[in-house]
Amino acid sequence: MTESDYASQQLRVIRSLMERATIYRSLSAPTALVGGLLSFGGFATAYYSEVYLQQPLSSREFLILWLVILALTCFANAIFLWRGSVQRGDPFFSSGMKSALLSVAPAFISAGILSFMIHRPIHLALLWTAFYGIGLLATQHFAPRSLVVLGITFFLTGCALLISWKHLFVPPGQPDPSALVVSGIMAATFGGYHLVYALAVWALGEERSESASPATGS
Amino acid sequence: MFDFDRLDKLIHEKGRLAIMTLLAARSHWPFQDLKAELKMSDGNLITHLRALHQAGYVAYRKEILTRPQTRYELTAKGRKAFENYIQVLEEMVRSARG
Repeated sequence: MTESDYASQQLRVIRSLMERATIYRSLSAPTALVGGLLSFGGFATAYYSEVYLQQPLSSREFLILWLVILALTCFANAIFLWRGSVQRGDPFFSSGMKSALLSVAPAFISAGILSFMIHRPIHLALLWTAFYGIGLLATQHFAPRSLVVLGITFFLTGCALLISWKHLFVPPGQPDPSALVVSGIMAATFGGYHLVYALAVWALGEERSESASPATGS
Repeated sequence: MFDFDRLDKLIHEKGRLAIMTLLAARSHWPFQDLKAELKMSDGNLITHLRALHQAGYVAYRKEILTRPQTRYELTAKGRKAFENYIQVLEEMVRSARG
């Protein structure tokens, strides 16, 4: 091995270690898939209630439905992150996870509190979309690029819809769009965006490269 | 011809280089997180950290949060030494190409 090869190898090890130390994916691709599918399930529930039962979801039922979906997705995320940490031999509450939790906490806690103060489904959906994006963007200094793109997409969508929802989704003579329409917005954003994210992560092989172990130890 | 003596021997050792790299990547590391990330034994990691501390490259702080823990970070001298080390490696690559 020449001097140059040796130096290049050392620099690669340093780079790999630094990337591994700084990158943390708080939302795995399998979780995104589960969350995306559950969001479509939420829309299907709203559709069934409004079209077949002729009983549109009330604001309270809308809130409960999507909180259940959130809880199931968080549970799935915890399972997948735990499985990943076991495979890598890392602690579940790694420094990366602690950093991620601390970063998303302000946005997610604010959204959580506001969720119990706001009663109109359309406001809830737009609040969740924008604040979810803000939460993801708060992890941008150590998140992989795909997660940052997801955060930007949610944030911009939330902002755009906050400005335009009255023109796009409110039928004439009605103050708000129905819970079914709002569930459609939720399915398109939390469902569609997460499915695209999961597919992109798998297609780009991002998770495989993050779990590749650098040559360390002595 | 490149002068290998310019490489900092203390940092050059594989385990200590890994420690210095992690400490350069984040502001501070609890001992347990360093150990988990590097997959080193307690004794091995302590020995390396002690050597780096004695050289003035690494500082530590003992804290009691929910339980006692020791957090490590690079000193200004350590960061400078690490940057110099990388610079020397880059010069090695450049000199071979040029």
